[in-house]
Amino acid sequence: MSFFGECKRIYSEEMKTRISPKITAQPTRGLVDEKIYIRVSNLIPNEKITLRCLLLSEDNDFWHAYGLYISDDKGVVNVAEDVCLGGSYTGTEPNGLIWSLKPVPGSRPALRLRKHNVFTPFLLNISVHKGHINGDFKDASSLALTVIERWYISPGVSRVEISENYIHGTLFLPPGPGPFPGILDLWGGGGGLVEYRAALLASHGYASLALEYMSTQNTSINVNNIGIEYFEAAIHFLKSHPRVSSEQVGIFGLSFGTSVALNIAAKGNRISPRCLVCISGSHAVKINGTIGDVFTNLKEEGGKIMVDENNHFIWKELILPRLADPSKKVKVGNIKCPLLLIAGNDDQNWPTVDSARDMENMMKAAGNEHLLTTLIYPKTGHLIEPPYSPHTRFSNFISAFNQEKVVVLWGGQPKEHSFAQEDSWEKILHFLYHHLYSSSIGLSKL
Amino acid sequence: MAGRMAYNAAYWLKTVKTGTLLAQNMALHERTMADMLSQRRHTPRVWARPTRALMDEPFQLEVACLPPHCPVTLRSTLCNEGNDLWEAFSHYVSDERGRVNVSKDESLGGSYVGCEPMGLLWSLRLAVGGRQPVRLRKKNIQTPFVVDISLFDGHITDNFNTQTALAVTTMERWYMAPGVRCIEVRENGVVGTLFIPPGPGPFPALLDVWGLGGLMEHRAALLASRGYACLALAYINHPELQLGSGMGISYFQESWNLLQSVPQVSADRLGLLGSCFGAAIFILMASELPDISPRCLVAINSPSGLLNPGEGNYLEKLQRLLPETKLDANGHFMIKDAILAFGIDLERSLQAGGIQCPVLLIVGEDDQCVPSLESAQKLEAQMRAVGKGHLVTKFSYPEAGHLIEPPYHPVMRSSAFNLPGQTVTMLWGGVGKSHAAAQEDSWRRILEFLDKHL
Repeated sequence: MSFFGECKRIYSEEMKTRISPKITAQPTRGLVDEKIYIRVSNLIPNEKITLRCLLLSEDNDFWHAYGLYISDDKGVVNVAEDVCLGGSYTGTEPNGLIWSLKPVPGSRPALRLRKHNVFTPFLLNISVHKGHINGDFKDASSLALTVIERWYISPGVSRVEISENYIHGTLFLPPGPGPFPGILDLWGGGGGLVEYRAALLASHGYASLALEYMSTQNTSINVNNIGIEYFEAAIHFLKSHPRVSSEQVGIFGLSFGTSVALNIAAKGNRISPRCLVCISGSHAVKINGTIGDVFTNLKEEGGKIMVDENNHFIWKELILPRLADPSKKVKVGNIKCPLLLIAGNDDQNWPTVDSARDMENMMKAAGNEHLLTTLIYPKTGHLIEPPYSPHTRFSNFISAFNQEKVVVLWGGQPKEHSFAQEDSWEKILHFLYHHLYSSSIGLSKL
Repeated sequence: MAGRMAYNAAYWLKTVKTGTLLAQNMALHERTMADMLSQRRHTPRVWARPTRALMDEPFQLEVACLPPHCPVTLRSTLCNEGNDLWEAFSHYVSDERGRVNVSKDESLGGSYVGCEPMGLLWSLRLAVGGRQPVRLRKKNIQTPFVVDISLFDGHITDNFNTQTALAVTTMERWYMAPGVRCIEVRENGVVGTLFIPPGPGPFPALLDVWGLGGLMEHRAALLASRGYACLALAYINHPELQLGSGMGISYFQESWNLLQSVPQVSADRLGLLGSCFGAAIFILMASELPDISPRCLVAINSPSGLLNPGEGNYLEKLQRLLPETKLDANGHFMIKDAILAFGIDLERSLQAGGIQCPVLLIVGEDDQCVPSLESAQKLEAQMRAVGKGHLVTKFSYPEAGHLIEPPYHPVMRSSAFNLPGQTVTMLWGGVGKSHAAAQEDSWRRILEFLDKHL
């Protein structure tokens, strides 16, 4: 049977002579933090259409977002400039179809979109549909379709698995001989080895080490074996790597990773980072013994654990009482490097805004507040990820510490949270470039 | 300083099990690092945007963190499907901020000079000396070309492999956009590859042919990436073509019918796009065959003075031409004059007056393979004679040669070509920069023309 023999001609005579609507999206194969430009043409003037973005995650869940538009007098919709009248987002939102992605109706609950294999892209199917569709696309055939790829890694970046001197992680190296500035990339209490942000940072020119420090599979990285020395060893590994410029190594942390970064920087010994990016964390987590001790203390402290109306856990008040006790806080007054602090004021997981304010006060008192830049975003939650990751207000969470399975409330509203991700990332890249690439303080030490 | 570096090297060699640097490279690296640090430099950065693009998309290339007024060499390399290495290089000097911007700055030497934002692509040449130059052809259309761009200290012209690059960036260049479907066509004797854009369609469609080189898919893949269902057709020099079938007019009629019958194709929006002999065949088809009614026709460097229906097959014609073919000073075949002589006989020339649709003629005036300019002029005259001169649009590029490819393709003045029984070096013509500019401009004109008429 020939390919052509099998297919039926399904288009009417009338449709045969009409030019099909055309949709283009640029870039066709961009990095995840690049803006997209979507344009639809050959529509009837002032025609109602729905744009839909569909993605199949690596966990085999379908995610989608959609926006309702009306074409102009020339039959064109330009997503970067036109107003979306409803759907997953409203207003002029060039990247709305990506950051407002949610699991399709009927999916498993409380999902979070994360990339495991950085060497394959996310594939987004962006389709145009006739009329304004109210979220149910089961019977809606598309007028036109385009496909774009979104990558966490640039061509040429290499991935090196690291498991030596008991450090466990993945090193991403930009192409070329280097030496490159280095970044220790730390995530939070969910544990495991999360690579995509390190891959993205390497695509921007930084040798980045995604470090695993809480694992349920690998017993050598048990939280009861690991203390601050583990992270210091990781930094030492980076600094002495032949492709890393030892004077230009910084730390990038989120959530618990931020607390680790602050602990290291405040120690002021020879392991001193060049700069710190600290997202959604707190200095009210002192690491004295093992990480296991830290988590045990968290539970025993007695701070308030709350749940919302959906029984999602709100942990932001757990360590709040510590802010009143100097002995429980990292001495941020001892930090000697520039620090970029980022927090969302709707963070339901950690008391990041209160901590940020307290840190400001401590650093003012100590006289090093000139090192601090604070960015606090309204209606923004805990998971401030690289743009344009879909905003997750709550999701399943398995603590690497005690394997408890709960649903955690992270907070934030989609539009504002997505803006925070976009804006903070731009400032982060600028901050890193300024302190790790163009600054010449490192050289003068030679 | 040197002592510290030596310590680090020893530590690394003792303890690191992962990684791929050899000890010798470490020593070279140490020396270069020490040199660089002693001159108080940072690692320079070089980056290309976009890193993953289609072959016809431009890119920006910038260098930063150099000392001011520093001479540097940028070198592009491409390894074609694991076999041949292609390279190009150019010389720049950083500005007072230590930056180089290839889109704005002038190259002072190398594979090209002057301000040429895409020069590192179109001036690529086979790096291995002593071999006949070949055209850059990709066998697997579905994977990208990977181009590395390296930065070197100073203005160097050879022995790149013995130097350490200061920085490197990597780009992928694709023929196919994501979602484009690639379907092998072997139906009713027709041999080709069909590229369909993503989506339900129906799409305007094109038949795409080239000269005597077998099945060339890359332009069809790009056109599908731009929204046209495109059938890249082989009609000669292909192992799967049934003997003799690729030559006759019925073959092209069959291809046309086949394309029309594809469900995703808008049956009344078909066009013809051809280069070289293929273009001449299309002109013949459009002019003489009533069943073939393209909405528009694009002919690139067509030798339409050559063909006539029923005159036998093209290989025979070519063989008859060979004894008359002159060689230029380098021993390269110059087929053009032979074809000119062939075509002067009026009885044999192709009558194009029967064409009913808009025609776009792309002419490289320095075409040394076919008399493109003369053919185009003759065609225009023929159409004017029947009152259809307004249908013809012509873009003629002085100093452009025969092989007008999609933009940024490496420019070849001559290259190896397989004739029956022998491989010769064929002279195509074209002068580097002008030919590259012609490729860029003509592609834009072609896409505009197709957008307007299809």
